[in-house]
Amino acid sequence: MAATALKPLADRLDELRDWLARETPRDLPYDLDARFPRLVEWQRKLYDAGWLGYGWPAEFGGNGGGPTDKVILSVELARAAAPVPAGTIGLGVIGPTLTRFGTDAQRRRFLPPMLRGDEIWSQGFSEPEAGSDLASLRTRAEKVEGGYIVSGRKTWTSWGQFARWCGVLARTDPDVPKHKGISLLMVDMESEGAQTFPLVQMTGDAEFTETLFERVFVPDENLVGQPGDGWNLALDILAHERGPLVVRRQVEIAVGFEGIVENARRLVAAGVLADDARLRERVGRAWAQLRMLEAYAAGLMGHLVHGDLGPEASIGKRLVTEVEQAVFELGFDILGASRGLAEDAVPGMNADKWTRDYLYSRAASIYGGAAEIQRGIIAQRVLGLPRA
Amino acid sequence: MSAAAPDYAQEIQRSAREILARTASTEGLLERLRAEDAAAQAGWFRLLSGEAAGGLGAGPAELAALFREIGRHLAAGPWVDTVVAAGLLRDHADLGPDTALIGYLPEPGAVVEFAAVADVLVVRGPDSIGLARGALAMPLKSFDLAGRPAQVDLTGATVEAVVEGAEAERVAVAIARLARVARSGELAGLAAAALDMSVRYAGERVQFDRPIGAFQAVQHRIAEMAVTRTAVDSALAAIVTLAASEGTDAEQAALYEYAAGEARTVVLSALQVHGGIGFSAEHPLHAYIKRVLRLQAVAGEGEPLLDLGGRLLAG
Repeated sequence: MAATALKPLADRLDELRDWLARETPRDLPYDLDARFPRLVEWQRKLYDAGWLGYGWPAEFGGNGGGPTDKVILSVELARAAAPVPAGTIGLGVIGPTLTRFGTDAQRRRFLPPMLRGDEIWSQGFSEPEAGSDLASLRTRAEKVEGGYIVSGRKTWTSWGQFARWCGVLARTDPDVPKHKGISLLMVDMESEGAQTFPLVQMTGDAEFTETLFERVFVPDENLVGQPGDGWNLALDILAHERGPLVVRRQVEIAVGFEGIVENARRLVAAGVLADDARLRERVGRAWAQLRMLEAYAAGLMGHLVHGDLGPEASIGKRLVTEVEQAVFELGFDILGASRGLAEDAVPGMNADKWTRDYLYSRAASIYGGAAEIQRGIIAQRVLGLPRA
Repeated sequence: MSAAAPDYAQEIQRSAREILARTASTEGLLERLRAEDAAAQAGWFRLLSGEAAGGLGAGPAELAALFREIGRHLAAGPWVDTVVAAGLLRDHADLGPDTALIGYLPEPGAVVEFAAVADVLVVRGPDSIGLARGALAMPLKSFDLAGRPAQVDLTGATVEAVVEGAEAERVAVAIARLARVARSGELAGLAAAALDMSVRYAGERVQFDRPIGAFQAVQHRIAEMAVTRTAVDSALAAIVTLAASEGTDAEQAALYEYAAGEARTVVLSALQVHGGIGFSAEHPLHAYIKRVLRLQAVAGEGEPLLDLGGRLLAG
């Protein structure tokens, strides 16, 4: 592993693709509780084969490598229709934050088990009363001898029920303006007083939880950055998440589109879908949108290399959302009278999957900063329009 | 395909921006460019010609950069035909001085922009491409101020073939492909200009005691314009990429139709932001809108998105 790791991932694409074609698990159960352990197994396999360490510092369990290596891996996973590894929040959100802002001791403690999938992470940002207005969050972290006492309620915590650790935004100083009194704490979910309750989404899955903290003790060494840094860390995390998300998601949508066209052919052959001008135009338009997005993502890779992607990432987030929603709406609409059914009227039409994918696509304009939040960022921080 | 260095497109863009900032307007631009800047324009007129023919040997990326600036400045002129058709034909035929303005008739009856002022009319025949002499150009009235269309009557004209047979077919396809790049570039420039104008105007125009750009309803509209403008730019990038590979005309045409639709959305949003001022002809916005509408119309022989969708469904 150490010898090959010196070679950039971009030069090992053929090898990676061969490996993925051979090793990608194809028989994952749909049920989340049965599925999750398999995703953990998949992450370990990726790590042990030397792929997952790309883009992570070598002294903390990674292989070294450049800033785009992680993106290349996620794109290749998407292209191979391989599952996303279990520890996606740790790998995509908390890990990069610790790499940039953590102490060496924190990196040494947390990164290796995060990469191997031994410890799964969640992020405790949103609250029932603090969604788009994240800075008004109410979870408190009270300073005590040797640490903090955390109390509050988080919601929409992705993978919360499987997480050993949670990156929690909490108010450490109620006496300063709301953006300034927030800190980021790493909370051990095995601590006394930490509890999760699965929340079922409109897709029928329970990918997230409500997360309750009742006087949970968090030691000082689990504070990321300085007290009061939390808001800026959160903005940085969300902005850094957007670029790679666009690049990966674009490939996933393209793979989805291929499946949709194939399904359309099946439905036309079965006589339940008319191959008319309306259908053709929508298919052609979705194709054009995907090619547009692919070209956009190619340009984005340059910015990811240079690390100079600022608030304009919000434009990418809007674009990918628009395309995702158009493509999966097409996938849903061609089901015709079977829309919303979980059983197949035509063998192989997979009404259940395409209905879920459609419903899931509607979340794209809500999570990671709702469309309205992105528009505000674009208007004020990219275009410089005056604040109200 | 392109012999040019990667930053060559940026250089073209810089020089075009500088020239156009001095000269652009929908009125009289041609005359001024001819009189004052002909030498400086040499780069445009010879952009695509091979180095053997004294050209710069540039490719689709440089072409897109130039036309982006032409669109941004709403620069009236027969640039698509002169830069693209003539650029590719100079390798085969003597078209006169560098600065000769060219009109290109892709098929009988087609509308040719600026045919009435063209020095040379190039005609695509059934089996050749030739230079027409004695053709009659009949100007058509148009809402579009940046393109002066005309119909061409070839009755009584003589056409001297300069490229024939399979080579003529190859050149005609290349012209169509690169003309799409040029027009997409123009669309991207028009959309960018409309966005810039709107951002500026929303910061200046005061209603209800504040700049209208401070209202969320206006901010969100302009933010979506920026998103859609980026879609036009990205579609342009895809069209440029496709221009370098043979046999992708259906895909390219579909992307052009898509890009034109998105550009139209942007300029119409700009009109809404500008309100009554934008609807008044004293403000230049209307000229940008009409140019986009014309560019959308000239590209769409048939229905490329629909056709492409049909091909994808056929497998």
